[in-house]
Amino acid sequence: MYRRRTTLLAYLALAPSAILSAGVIFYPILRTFWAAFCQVDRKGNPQAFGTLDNFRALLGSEVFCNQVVPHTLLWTGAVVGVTIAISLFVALALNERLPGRRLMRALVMLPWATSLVISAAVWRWTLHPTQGPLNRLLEDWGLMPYGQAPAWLARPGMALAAVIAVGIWVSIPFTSVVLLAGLQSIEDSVYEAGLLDGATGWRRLRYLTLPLLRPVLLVVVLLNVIYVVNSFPIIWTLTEGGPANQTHIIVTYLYQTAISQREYGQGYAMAVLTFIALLAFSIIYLRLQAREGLAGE
Amino acid sequence: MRYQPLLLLALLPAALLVGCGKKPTDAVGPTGSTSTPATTVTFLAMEYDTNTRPFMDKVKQQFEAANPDLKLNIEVVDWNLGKDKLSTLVSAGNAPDLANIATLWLPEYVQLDVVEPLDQYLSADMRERFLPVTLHGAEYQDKLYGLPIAVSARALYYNKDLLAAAGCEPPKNWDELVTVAQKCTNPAQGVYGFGVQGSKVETDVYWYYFLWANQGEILSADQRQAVFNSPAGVEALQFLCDLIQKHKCTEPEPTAYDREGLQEMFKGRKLAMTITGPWFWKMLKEQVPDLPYGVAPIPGHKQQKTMAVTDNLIMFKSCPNKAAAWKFVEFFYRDELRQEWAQTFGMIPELKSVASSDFIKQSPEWMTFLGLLDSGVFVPLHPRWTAIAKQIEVGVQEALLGQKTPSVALDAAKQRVDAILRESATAATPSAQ
Repeated sequence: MYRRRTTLLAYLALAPSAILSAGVIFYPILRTFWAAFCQVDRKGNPQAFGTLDNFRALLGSEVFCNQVVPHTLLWTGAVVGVTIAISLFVALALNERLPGRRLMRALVMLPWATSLVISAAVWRWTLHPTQGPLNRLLEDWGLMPYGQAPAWLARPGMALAAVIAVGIWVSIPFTSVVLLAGLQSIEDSVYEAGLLDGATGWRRLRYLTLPLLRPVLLVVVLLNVIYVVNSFPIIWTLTEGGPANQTHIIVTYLYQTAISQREYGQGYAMAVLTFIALLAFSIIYLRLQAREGLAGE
Repeated sequence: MRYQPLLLLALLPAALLVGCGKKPTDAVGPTGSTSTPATTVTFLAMEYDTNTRPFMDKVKQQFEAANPDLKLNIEVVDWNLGKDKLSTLVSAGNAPDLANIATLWLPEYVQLDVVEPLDQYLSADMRERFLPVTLHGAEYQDKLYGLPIAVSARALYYNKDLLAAAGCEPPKNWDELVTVAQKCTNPAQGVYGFGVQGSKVETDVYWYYFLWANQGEILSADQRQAVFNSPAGVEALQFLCDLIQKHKCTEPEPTAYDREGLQEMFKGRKLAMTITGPWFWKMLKEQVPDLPYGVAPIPGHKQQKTMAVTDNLIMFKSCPNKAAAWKFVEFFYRDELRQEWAQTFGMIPELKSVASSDFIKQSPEWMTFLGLLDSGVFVPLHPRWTAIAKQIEVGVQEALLGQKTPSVALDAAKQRVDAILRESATAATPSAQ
């Protein structure tokens, strides 16, 4: 009796958030899926159901297939990969007992406290070809002849590299904080025991720290992939996808296509494809990790 | 699975499109324009510069004082975000009663059937008060859909000091433009002769100035196909590319500069010449009063042309109390208020009374711009213009970057634009039923 009552109470307590989730998460997703297979008018209202036209138009678009999708993969791979490499180093450094460690931790966190749009706006100014402090420094230090320092955000190739660099910069705080938390959860006794077996320096990192950090790394990779694939403000603020579509990733292209140009149908199709791709990635990734984890033990 | 909740995060992209396709009946948005009392008039005002907010606040006060039974809600938004904001509101059925929009957007909203034609409200007397050319911008498919709120044309601004130092007069044609720009260029000091815009909104327009001067057109008269890849168009784009790559008399890497970027460079005395609109001389007077500048027509080639632009005040069909909204429109177009508007924002006046006032006649800048209206070309009105302009912008950028030759870039852009035109021609047929 008592048990049943608590279960009921639990359901009651959960109901508001469950209803809210259904309303603001599941309904839009289902509707987007449904709309992707409809003719869509220019207000974004789905009309007749049962067409693949949206997907056909999208996959027939050279810009989407030859530029947007490869750039999205490159952007995600580069930002996540480099962020985790650097953050691991940062987290290891901050985990050492150094003087000024607290201050350093606060500084690393700082960019996180700033909104992405503000960070990106600051970088847009920093990277300005003639007024930006970066090119001023390069010229004053004699690394570039005066007037020859590049327009970072305006050259094909370089523009994508520049937005990736900013993407990494804004991703480091969150990633290093999570990794730092992971490092701190490793008991000192493990290292002490390792020390007896001669685990120092590189070997300590390779055979003790990294394996124990593995669950945290797993989460960090997954979260970063999802955040970075869906990251809109950085690229939009820096370049709006230009020059000549060179820095579009799927979300920025989606925004431009659906909202600015009223091709809502293709927008729905893009949202659906991204959703499926991320879901598939998450499932496969977690499966692989789980299997490896078992095999390793 | 321990990480199952994380999968929910994968759902985020789909949530991006939330609410894009709501039907008007579901609409209970944050602006709540449908639920406000009928005596409130809502006005989404795009921001011209930092004077817009104070100006609109004053308009609100005066209007509410003069009409105690009416309330005015003015929301001022940035132009760059304004279009997307308005589109979202319209799609969600939350359109404001009034908004000022770029005329280029008008066909899109007319096609969505959300704009109220104004012919029935505009009395003959009131119509008579406008300069006729300024009303053309909002005439679409034989109806008048808006009143001109900001009329502008584009002109060449030049820095008198830099030109004098190089011993030059402002250029009148393309050849002179090359010579003057080359003489004024001094990379060692970071000074460049002529600014070419290669980034963001109106990148395509910067090329139209030269296309039109060369007697080229953007679209065929029936709007069935793009004709901008004509020899005239290719030659015009080649001319821009030559300025950058051959004559090296522009700022390096124009794809890094949007309109504001060029204006900043001009203000910083690093640019001898650039093309922009009438707001800029107000800005120069206020921000760098000691910079000696001149305003001249854009250098011509086979002919002298500029772009004429009007922004329009439009009323949405969903407006619950159109009489009240129109009352505000009439209030807004009083002579004193429009004169103050012209003085505040430096726009070309649209009312005859303001255009003939001493204030305007004594200003060489205003007289130059007023004179330019006659050589002004309007960009074609097409419901998919935003998408078309984007495709042209990409083509222009590819050529400016040297990734493609002008003819290859424009041919490819024509293919993309033609696809949009074909699609919208076929889409228009069933909806006309």
